[in-house]
Amino acid sequence: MVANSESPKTANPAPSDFTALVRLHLRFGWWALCGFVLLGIVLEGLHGLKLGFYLDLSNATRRHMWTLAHAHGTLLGLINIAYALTLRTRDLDPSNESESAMAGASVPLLASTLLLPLGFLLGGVIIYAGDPGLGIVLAPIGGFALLYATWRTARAL
Amino acid sequence: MIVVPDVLITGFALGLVLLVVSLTTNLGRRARAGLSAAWVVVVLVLDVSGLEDSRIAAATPSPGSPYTERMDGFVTSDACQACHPNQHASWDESYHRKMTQLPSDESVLAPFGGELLSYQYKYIPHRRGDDFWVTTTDPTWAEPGEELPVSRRIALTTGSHHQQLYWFERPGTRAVGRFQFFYRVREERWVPFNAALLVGERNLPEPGIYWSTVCVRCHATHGKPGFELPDPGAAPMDTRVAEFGIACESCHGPGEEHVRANRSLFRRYRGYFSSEPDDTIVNPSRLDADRSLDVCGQCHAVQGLGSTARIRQWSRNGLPYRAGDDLSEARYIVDGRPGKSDNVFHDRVLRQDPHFIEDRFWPDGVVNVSGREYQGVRDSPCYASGEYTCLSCHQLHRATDDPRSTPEWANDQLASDRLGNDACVECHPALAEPAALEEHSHHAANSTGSSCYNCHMPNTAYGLLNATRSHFIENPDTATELATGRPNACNLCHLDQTLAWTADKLEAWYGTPVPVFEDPAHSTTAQGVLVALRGDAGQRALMAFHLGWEPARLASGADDWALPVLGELFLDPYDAVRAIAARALQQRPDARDMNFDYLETPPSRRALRNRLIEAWSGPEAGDPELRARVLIDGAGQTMAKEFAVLLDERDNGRAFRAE
Repeated sequence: MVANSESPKTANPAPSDFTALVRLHLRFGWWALCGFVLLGIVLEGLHGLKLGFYLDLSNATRRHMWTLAHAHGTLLGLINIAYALTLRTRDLDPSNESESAMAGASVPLLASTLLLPLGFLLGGVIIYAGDPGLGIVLAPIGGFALLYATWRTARAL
Repeated sequence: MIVVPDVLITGFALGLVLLVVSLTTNLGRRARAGLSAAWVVVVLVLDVSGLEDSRIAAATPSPGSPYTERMDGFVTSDACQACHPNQHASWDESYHRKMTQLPSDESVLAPFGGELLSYQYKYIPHRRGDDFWVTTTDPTWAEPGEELPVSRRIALTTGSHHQQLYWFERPGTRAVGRFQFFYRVREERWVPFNAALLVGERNLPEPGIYWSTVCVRCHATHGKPGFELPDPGAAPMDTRVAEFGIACESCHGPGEEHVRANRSLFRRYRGYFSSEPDDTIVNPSRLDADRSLDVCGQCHAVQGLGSTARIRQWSRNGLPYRAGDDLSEARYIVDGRPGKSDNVFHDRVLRQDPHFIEDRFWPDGVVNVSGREYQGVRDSPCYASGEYTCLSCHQLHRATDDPRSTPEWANDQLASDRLGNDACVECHPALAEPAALEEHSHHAANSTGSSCYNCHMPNTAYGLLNATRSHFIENPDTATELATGRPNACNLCHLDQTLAWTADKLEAWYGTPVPVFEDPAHSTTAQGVLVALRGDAGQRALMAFHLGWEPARLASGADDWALPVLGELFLDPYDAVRAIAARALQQRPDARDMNFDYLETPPSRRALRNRLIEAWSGPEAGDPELRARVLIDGAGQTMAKEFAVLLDERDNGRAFRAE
């Protein structure tokens, strides 16, 4: 990418910022994938050991929440990787507003990757029969952050 | 489990599709905005309709059967599951839930394999695809002008624990008819209707319309029979219920307001952090003793509606009682004690059925039939404490830390810490110490003789070819047995002892007055022999049970001497007595591999009994006084003459238990 000799009218990220973003999301995505796959293995272990706090019928809500945490975390890891690849495959021009808009999905995507599975995880720690614990409030926040991130990315493409 | 309505998943999937379409095609802003708006509208419409339907669903009515209908604030147990998964699951495994079911591969326990059942007429239970049918030559099943044999589809089942009954559709009405054979679960066999009851009547009853006029009151939730008086069977009935079986709302009241209120996230979570009860639903454990007892008593009591007006109202609008109400305002609770029968209700009932009281109560007003525990609990001295209710011992939802399997819990729904004396020592803490218990009971602390239940709640209620615990908590007293015929707790274990022996012990240990024994047999003959041979059918049934009951067999050594007695009971004219005796015979080490079919012909049963006696020899050595009490001579043989005398004295009067 050739640097533009004129100063941009807006403070658009330089190409190196996009490279940094790509690297960030690749790393974040793969580590998230690793972490939530590990969570999945742990949950399988709880099944294998038939631990009551996870498998008893009265703990069905906990099991559901933690399964959702594993599934959403794994999925979000993949989305981060997909986002990074999307960034990399585009011939990004920092002076292009829509493409910088796509880069603006980074923060909400990172936030959702943390908040959505964390909400489910915390929501399963203390449960109230059919309802999750108060930690669940993080999940919709993360969900809307994800929605915003994907909308922003889709719009910029 | 949290239920994610399918409609929401569908809505989001549609949204994703629209998003992909709008992003991958050259749609203008207006087109995109229009698509987005359309998606929002579609999802909203689906949500509103789908949420309602997914939470509260009505069963599809079958033309000739009672049906379910949403009414009067009842929303069915489906609405409870999402927020109360554990309670719902244990209830789902309970016999309450299964009291009435629609027929299915899961619910129907009988084989329906085309076997021929013959009793006065022929009946062939069989399958047609997914349905269950009976083809029969019984003319009472046929409509006027209909040729025999007729075939009828099974519409409902009743019961699932000890026995199951089936109800068939009738053309033109929702009043189903009763198939006059029970299916006995443990024995895995069909038995004629009367052979599963304590009744002397041999003929099969007619199918009748009992489900709609009797059973619906307790075996379903909020039933409306839909008949007209004075003759319920004269016109087609429109019988409907809120839910089949005894469901959540039977004990907790209608749930519509509770469900609606708790759709609010904030209300629910506010409730989790508050100790205040939710006033939109009834929790029987939070009611006072009277109202809590009434919740169970709406079914587990000897009761009636009390007036024609109430019957009419029940038929049209269902029973007015709701959990938490005063049951006596909606029902007449029958008092079986002497002198309590002089009222309008009794007059009416006794005119129609002169045996109403004796078929349900011992002469002193204690209930003699199972499933009617209300009066016993209410009349117990423990109830006066104001803290003793059914829930003192019974747990209607299996606790999460209950070590028993769900079927074990479901057997009697006793709490896991109420299987022993724990229930009683809560109010009688002094007896928690083994030494104190031994001093009180005069039995080893870890023996069945120190079980509070065995002494104070003996098995003197008959039901379902079994004996169950009386819920009237009393002290053993031989005077009571003389006056009422109800066997005392001591001799139900010490079958080998006389009534006079028991009276002496009670007098020595507790100061209980010794009655006058005018009959010398009470001082010479073991009570287990006496009652078994000359009691009435109800007493004989109870004694047959105890002759096979392990604590009694061990305490009295019945395996050594009781065979002749059980042999006589196996020839009893009452099917129920023979059924229980057959089970007791099966318990014996010397008879475990034999087949005691209590419905075999009398000559066959007699031949089997004789073979058993010929092969048996009673104790020749040992305690001569014991042998004398149990009518065994020095050669180890039955004292036939004395046996015959007692059999001649048998109470062959009418006996019936209104289960």
